[in-house]
Order: sequence, then C-alpha cells, then structure tokens
Amino acid sequence: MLMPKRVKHRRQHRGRRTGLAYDGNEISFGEFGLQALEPAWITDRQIESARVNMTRSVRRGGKLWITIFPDKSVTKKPAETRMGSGKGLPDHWVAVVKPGRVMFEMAGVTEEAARAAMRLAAHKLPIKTRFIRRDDGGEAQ
Amino acid sequence: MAASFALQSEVRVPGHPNRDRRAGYIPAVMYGHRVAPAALRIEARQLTAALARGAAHHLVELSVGDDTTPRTVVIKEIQRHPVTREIVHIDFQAVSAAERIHADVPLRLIGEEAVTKAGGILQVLLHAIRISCLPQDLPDHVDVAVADLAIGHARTVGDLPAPAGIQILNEPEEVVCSVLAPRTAEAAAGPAAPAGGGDGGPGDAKG
Repeated sequence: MLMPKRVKHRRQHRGRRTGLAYDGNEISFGEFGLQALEPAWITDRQIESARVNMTRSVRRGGKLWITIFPDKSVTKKPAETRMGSGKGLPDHWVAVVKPGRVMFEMAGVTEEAARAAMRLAAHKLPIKTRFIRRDDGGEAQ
Repeated sequence: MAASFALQSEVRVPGHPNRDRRAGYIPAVMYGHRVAPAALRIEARQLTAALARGAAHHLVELSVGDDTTPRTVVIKEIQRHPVTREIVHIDFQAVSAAERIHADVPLRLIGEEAVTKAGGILQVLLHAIRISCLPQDLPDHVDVAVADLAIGHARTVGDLPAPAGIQILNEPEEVVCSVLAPRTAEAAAGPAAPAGGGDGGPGDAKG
C-alpha cells in the first residue's frame, strides 16, 4: 500500500476540498489517463485496488503511472471510546483529489485495452471519472 | 513555412472575461518584441475550427478589428478549463520575419509498429522539443525514426535531425524515447512506483 516514508506530523486537519485541480489536470507521462470529475479522498486501498485491476487487465505490456499519492493521514478513534482524550490514532492514508485531476496514466497499449483497464479501475474509485487521451486536449500546448 | 491560417479578432476592454465567454468569444492577448500588448477577443467557433486543423503549430495571420493589415503571430499558450477542457484564454506572440523565435514543436514517431511487433514497449519521454528558428522556418512537427530501436535502446535529442536553420534547444543527452522489455507476470504483480509523491521531515509515518 502506498504511504509516505516519513512525515513531520502524524495527524492532520481535515482541510477543505473546494475548487478544481489547477495542477495535474493534464496527461504528463503516458498516452491515456483517468481523470477525476468529483472531489474525494482516495484511500491507499482504493489506489492499490485500481492498480491491481489495471495491471491484470492489460496482463503484460504497457506502462502504468499513478499520479496521485496518499500523503494525508486519516485518524480514527477506537470503537466504544468516550469522546475527548485527544485525537485518535492514524488509521489510513488518503490522496486529496479535486475535479480535473489525472490520477492514472497508461502508455504502450492500444486505446481499447487502456479504456477497458481504466473502466475496471474506475469501478474501484468512489467518484465519477473520465477516460482522456493526450491528443484531445489532455495536454497543454 | 507559409502562414496558412487566418483569424479575425476584436479589441477587448479588459475586465469581465466571463461576459465574453458567455457571448461566444474567448479572451486573448497579443504581445511580442516591439509590439504593445493588446487585449483581444476571438470567436470561439472560429478558433476551435482553426485549432482542429493544426493552427497551434503554424503561423497565423491575425486581423485585429477593422485593421486591414493582419499581423503574423504564433499561438504561445492555450489555457483550458481543468474539467471541461474548453479554452478559457489564448496567448498570441507577434513575430517578425527577421527575428528568431523559440517554440515547442511536437515529435512524430515513425515506425512504432515495428517496435511493438518485435515485442518491445515504446516509452515516450519527450513529446515535444524546444527549438529556435525564424518564423518562416517553423516546422509543424519533427519526425523521429524508431523502427530500428531494439529492446533496451533509446533515442536521444542528439539523434534527431535538425533541419536547416533550426536550432534544437533541449540538451542532446535528453532521452526522447526508449524501448522497454515487456513485463513478466511476477513484475506485473508487484506494486507500481508512483509518478509523484515524496516524504516529509523526521518522524515515523507508521502507526
């Protein structure tokens, strides 16, 4: 599972998820991409699940890039604990994703294979997504 | 290369760009060496049609308002909406026939099928190169022959043919594309390295 090696602070504020992805909204490495259309916290497990599905779908060949990283810790208090006594322990890690963010990229496979792989990946994510190609505006000039 | 695209624009009063967008125009700016910057607006339909025909990598004759003498420009930047991908703003750079310009030119790979047939995976690391040339010499693309690349080999910027009058500004050692061996089943099952990410300062993230 993806997670930071070291962090300065183990617990974080939740923050806000307003706005759009003004960075990372173009295809940077591959030919095809999966773009988020809604804001969400994508967990490390969801990223891993999407990756496994894409890898299995294309079997061999092709190259995959994961362009989000779960660097935000989410804490959870133990079950049946009274309120108070400080913030809970870190439970898992999430990537904060805003609309427009390209989350996965692929290259070295046909468009049909990439579409099929990313459709499976999209089913593992909690948001609406879109398949994009480099040559239809996925990239800046 | 001769200019093959003509666009008509109007002078725009700066401020309220969304009003122009709602009216079917795209806010634009034209600037250049010894050219006073001008805020313009251009019909979205006209611009979209020109871009679909490849205007982004050609010289463009841009008419402003009722001015009868069009100015030769290149499209310097296109800003798009992160989600809808609609064009929200465009920059034109006015060029002079006697002054060299810097431009990004897309690379076109020739012979990709041969690499795939040989069982390799072509990894493209550079999709465009930065060049310096006179405006009339601006190519719309640069061809990269990859058919003879074997697995494990790479094509660098230094291998690219620079047409006469064109200077390539990228480092010659920069890799344009390489051919990878297909992944084995064991490699495919392992975790993929993220494209980005990083870590913070001291402190254990686990736990």
